[in-house]
Amino acid sequence: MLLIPKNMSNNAIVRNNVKILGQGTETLLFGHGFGCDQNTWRSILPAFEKDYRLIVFDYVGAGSSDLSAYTDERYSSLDGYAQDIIEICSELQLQDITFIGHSVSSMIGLLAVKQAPQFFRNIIFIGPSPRYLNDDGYKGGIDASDLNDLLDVMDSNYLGWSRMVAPLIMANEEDPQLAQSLTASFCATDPEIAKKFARVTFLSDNRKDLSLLNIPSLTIQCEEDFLTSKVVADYIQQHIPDNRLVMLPSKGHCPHLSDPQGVINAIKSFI
Amino acid sequence: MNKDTINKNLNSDFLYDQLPSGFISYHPDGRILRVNETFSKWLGITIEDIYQLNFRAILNNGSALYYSMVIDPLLNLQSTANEISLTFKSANGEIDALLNAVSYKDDLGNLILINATVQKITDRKRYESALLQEKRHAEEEKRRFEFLSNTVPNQIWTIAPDGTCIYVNQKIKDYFGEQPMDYYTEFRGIAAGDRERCYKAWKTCMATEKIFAREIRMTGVSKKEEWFFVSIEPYFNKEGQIESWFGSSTNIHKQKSLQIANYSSLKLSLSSAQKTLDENKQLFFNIAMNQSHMIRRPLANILGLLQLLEDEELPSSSQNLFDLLRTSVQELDEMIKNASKPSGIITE
Repeated sequence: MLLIPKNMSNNAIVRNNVKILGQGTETLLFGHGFGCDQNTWRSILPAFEKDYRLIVFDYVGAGSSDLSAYTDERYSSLDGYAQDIIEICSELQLQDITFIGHSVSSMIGLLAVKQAPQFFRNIIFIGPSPRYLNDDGYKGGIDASDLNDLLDVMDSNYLGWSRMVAPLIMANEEDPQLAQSLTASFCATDPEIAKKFARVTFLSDNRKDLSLLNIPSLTIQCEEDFLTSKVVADYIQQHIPDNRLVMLPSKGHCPHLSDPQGVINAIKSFI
Repeated sequence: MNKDTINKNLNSDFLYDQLPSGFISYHPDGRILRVNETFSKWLGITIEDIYQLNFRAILNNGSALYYSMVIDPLLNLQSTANEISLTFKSANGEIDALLNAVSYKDDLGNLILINATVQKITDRKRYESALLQEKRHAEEEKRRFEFLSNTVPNQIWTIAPDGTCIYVNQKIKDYFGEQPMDYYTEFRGIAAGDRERCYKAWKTCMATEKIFAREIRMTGVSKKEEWFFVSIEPYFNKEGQIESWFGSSTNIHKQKSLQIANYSSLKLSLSSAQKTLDENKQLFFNIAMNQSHMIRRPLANILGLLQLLEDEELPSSSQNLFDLLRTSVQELDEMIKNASKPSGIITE
């Protein structure tokens, strides 16, 4: 059910394909990671529908966002994506929200809190990394040459992209309304924008921003994650005051898909 | 080939292991559960050793990143992912391949297995890489064109054959605003007085494939009307078809204003000269009228006397002189008549 207040500016709401679900008063705002869109949350949303107001959206370039809103100038750094979150919060007049970000969205959320702390009460990171590339004395896990390889693979899959993400009807027997309210195509991302987003994601360095976070935060991390690691999770814990860490026994970079119950439990125990 | 050999080659285990396609089954966390001999040979690793590896570990780093970020979530959300271009690490280097994967879930909706085929495309990939290089080169050229078009002082744009705007340079955005038009009829930058005439001319140029070149008044964000010289030329591809139109406009407002001012001044001078000319013509006419009148009076007398002499019987020796005199007088009369009607003014 869409609960957008009437007579208000809705540029970001339309631009970012914002959907509002759930019946609660407390708000959970979900930010998807690189390579997918708001559909990535479908396995965990039903667990929060009865008690929370749930807001999902697509970053510009992903899913059903307004592709024409993409400008190199705005989205050449994660700050531009953080601005998307702030504008959504502002247009929906949100307060005391919990932001839940997957992968790169963790740091985008962190930047949003830094720029507009008035909207946020808590922040949850799923598979976060303040810097993906290895650096002196820091093991992000990825070398600069890996980024070039990734861009090559993305180029190779350019033609097959639309076929790969062909629209399908999403089955969700527990909550057919939820299924209908989300878009029917998965992880559809404009290939050109995706390449730029990949570059921005992997060249970002938010290590200095960690210590500036002054609201409670939770890190949810898989034991084995190709894109990040326990070492990175520990680094975050060391540099963010009041950060809790939940290590899930599952493997992979998307525990909300591979281990939804583990993620649901971790979030519920935190909020 | 005898029947036993045929049956052996149709045996499903034989087909699984020997078909010229790789087969691999793995757990969602990457644990490899089964591979066929073909794939094992391609990787140059024994089947037993492959079982000790994670699926992501047999991909090169770029492919592993891509798989983790894009394909892994996709196989959680939908049951198939087709024609994924990936690069596998092998004992002898790398193998470029296309992966077609099917994912399976248990009754609780948990992903439990992924079965995939792997098709080696090393040669095709080489060709694809060459195409990609060309694509990147074309993109680089496009960036170069856009950079150059932003450094020149002119407004530059390109238009598709159907009239859709493809590109505008920064100078246009600075002058007319961020997104001045998608289609030529939407462009409101042309001053109202010139707009319809320009649209009509441009439409004709598109239909006839002729160059558009005009001096046009335009209005930008400053709301000030200025003169521009606008030129739009068709770019023909190798097949002789218009691929796009290249437009440029130069601000000629100063020169045009000066030209208009000079023209006004010249017009004023010409009007003054014309007035003087007309006055002089009138003066000359009046003088001619007076002089004509003064000369023609004695001439009329001479003509009268000649008429009287005509009635007299003149000696034959004088008759020739009389005829000569009459002809000369008539010629003089004609000459005076002509001299008194300048510029086609009839004085009679």
